[in-house]
Amino acid sequence: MSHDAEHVAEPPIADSGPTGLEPQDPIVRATEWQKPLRRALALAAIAAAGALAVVVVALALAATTPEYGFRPNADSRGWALHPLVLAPRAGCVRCHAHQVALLDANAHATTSCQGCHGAGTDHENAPRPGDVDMAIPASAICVRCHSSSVGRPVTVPQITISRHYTEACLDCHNPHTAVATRPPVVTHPLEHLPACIVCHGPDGFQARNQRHPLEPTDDAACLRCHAVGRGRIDVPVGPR
Amino acid sequence: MTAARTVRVHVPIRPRQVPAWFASEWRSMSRPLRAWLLVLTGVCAFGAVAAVIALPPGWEVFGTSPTVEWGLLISAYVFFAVTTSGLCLTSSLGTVFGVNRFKPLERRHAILAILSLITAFGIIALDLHWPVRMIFGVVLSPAPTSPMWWMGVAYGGYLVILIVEIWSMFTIRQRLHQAACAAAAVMAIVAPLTLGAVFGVLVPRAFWHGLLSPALMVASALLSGTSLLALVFGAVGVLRLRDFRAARKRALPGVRLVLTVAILLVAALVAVRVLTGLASDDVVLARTTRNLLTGPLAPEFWGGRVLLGIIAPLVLVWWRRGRMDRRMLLAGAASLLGTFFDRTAFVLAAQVTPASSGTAGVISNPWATYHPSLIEISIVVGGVAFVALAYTLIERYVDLGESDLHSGLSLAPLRRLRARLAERRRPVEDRPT
Amino acid sequence: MTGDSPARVQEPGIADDATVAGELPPVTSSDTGFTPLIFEIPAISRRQFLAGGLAAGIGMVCGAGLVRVLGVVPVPPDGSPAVAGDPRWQFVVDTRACIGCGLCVLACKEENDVPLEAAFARTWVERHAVLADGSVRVDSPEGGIEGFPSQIEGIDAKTVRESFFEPRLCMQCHDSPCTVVCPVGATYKTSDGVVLVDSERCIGCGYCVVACPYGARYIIPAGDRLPGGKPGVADKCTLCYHRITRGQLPACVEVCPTGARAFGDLADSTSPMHERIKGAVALHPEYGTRPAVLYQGPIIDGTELA
Repeated sequence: MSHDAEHVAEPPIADSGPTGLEPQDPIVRATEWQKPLRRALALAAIAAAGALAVVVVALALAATTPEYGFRPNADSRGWALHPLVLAPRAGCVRCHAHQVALLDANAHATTSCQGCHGAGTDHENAPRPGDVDMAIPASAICVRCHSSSVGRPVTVPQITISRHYTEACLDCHNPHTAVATRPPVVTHPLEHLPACIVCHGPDGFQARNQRHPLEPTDDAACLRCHAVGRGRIDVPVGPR
Repeated sequence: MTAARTVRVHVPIRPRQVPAWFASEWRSMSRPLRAWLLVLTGVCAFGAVAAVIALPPGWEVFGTSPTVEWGLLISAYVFFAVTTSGLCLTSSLGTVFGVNRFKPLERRHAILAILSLITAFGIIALDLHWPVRMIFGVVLSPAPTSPMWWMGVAYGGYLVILIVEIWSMFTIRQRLHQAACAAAAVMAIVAPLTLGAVFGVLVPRAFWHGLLSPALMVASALLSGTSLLALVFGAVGVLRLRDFRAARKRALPGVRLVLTVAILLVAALVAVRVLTGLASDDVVLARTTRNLLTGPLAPEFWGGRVLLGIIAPLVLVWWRRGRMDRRMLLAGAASLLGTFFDRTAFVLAAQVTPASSGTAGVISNPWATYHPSLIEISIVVGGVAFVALAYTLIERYVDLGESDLHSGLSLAPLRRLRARLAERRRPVEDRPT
Repeated sequence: MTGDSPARVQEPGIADDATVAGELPPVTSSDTGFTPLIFEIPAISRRQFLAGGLAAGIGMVCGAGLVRVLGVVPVPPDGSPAVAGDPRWQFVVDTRACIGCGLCVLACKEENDVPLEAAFARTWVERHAVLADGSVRVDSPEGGIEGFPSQIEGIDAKTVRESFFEPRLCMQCHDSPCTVVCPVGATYKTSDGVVLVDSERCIGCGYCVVACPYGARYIIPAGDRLPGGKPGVADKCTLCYHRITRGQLPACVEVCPTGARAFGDLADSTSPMHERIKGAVALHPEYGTRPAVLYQGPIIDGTELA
């Protein structure tokens, strides 16, 4: 280490070569610049060039990138022009006045058609009725509001899903009238049933076509399997 | 009127000679230097690949979320940008305030400053989703209410000033250089102030809010700039570069003094931040401070800011055992690393503890989480490697020594360095295996 | 010349300074056909440089002014005073009425093409629970888009003293931090008081996301669902600007089954909103943002979190 230092301690300065600075003949003659008129003209030319450069850049941007183009306040207009997805309620009433009247006359009066049936603009604008069908709500829609939950106001009727008769709400309840018919008795001697997987997807208890063969039983029979802690209660219920 | 001059730079090398030139250069390097360059090139390449992956619209590869929108890249940007300012602060001590101790070494300041600033800009461009729009937007639709706009103007102007400073330094335009240095010294204070204001104006982010953020930025600018100089001058001494005596005798004691002052200043400001935070009635501020001291950011704070950034460099600098240049090298490295962790802690602290219970649907309870992705880490490490690689090459091929300068751009130090390295290499090769 | 000897092994092509010049004569175009690279920088005095720079600067400022006058660049409408006849939109959330069904979150995502990932929501619903020990727990699984599970994860329902749902959205502040901090004026306020983002000028810096005290903003991720048509730009609730300017309700208000969300025009003297805002308060009034979205019923704005 230290013996290296000896070599570099007094480095010979021998770098005065062609890369160094040598006085050259002036390319721009200073005398010309000292004439006031020429100087003023030159400065004006520089200023004009600067201004021109900015204008040219701005015009080029305006031509090539619309975001900096001639569109004052156009952006809010752009947002305003987005198409509707949820249709105006008046469109529902036009064809489905009966259902709307039923709805408005009972406990579900404040709910919106499209809250349960999904967005309706495509349905409304379809060339013929029936070309685009509205969704028949899945039970998952009902339990969004009517499953018991921490935080949910007690004024809303709530069920504990695992203790309810079935997860096919619409089998018994008419949401437009909010009236329940007698619940069907869901029976379970499993040998009478089709394979579970026909109705219940392997990715969760997504119940469909829930018309199990009738056979008399009572709640106690259900609760043998579906009581708290037996697995079923923890299965989350919700839309896919 | 100064007589007009022409600077002629001859590059007397034919294209087909380039491979042979590279080969001979490579042969002339010592083994550690080769390894150093290879490692740095490799890391740079790694970072470059990451950067290409992250080019818009590749920002999905970042670990950021709406809750923690500013992650590792912003921290690294702050780190590099503030380091640039710090270098100019210490540099201006020499040129503007006439502290001659640093004057002979100001070329290193300037080169490091511009490398650091270029890296900062590169990193922020990768973090921004539409960086090109920023250039146009800052010019064509100025937003003077936004500290970020001012920051963009300040650092953009800073880059121009640094270019003028370096150009005038190497072409020996004394008065222009003086003016550029003065302007750089002003920007060295203004720029970190605007950067601090970017954070300081955000009222809901109580940890950032207030005048302490800009003050901390300026103080830590001095700290990180001085740390980098300690690192470089330590390396100059340890590696016996050409002017290592000047570095040892004149620069290092000065750096040590400034480093100590800067560390104590930053320590005082950090203490103020923590104590006021703990004592505050502001629930968000108190919670943020607790998260910093005992929560998810505790490793960054205690290990980075306190241990690496304050205790280790102070001990290394003042513990009078071993050679000073080695201790300064280590102290600078520790302090820089500590400062980097402190930057991430600063940037993240206010975000992992937001005032709002949820952000865009995600609840931060008890705090928000952020894990930098491999891409982000690679970009930052690549940025560090870029600065080191570029600086090593510049140190090798450009005269960064004494700048009372009659030498200009010169390849002479290359020759001397090559000679010395070859000399050092010979005994190793001659040694029987 | 101590220590210089190994460097004497001169490789072809390198010729740096005077010492080498003897061994390798300077290459000129005449003998190789190769033109050496020569930069000729005409030197100017500092005064000339400064005067020229000043002139160029003045010229560029004039040019920028010209560009503004010509209207090449749109002036951001931020801060434009309300025009007479413009609506004064008012939004009220009633946390007593919200039942946490999440239909509003779903409808918002459908209506506005908001990305379906849980981390990117223009509106979401939080469940706040005050526990027996006085601490507060907040949850919002998937932002509430699929409703709420019956229990708060990890919390015994018996220990919950009080709980309620708190829908969240952009507060459409009158003094909005986001429009103040945007470095390019890409987020702005319309004359009818809605804060919007110009997705073609936003640079995606995330400053507004960080600045928003209500966590209402996010950066649109790349994907098929792009609310403003561009990825990588800030996005937030627009109050369904395309609906309200057509006389419709915002999608979330439209589908809300309990009237927990209400929307109207205060400029309309017959609007029921005049009644609804009585007693309504702002979230985080301490930040001075003056939101256009007000709350009724219990609120916990986050500062009480453990």
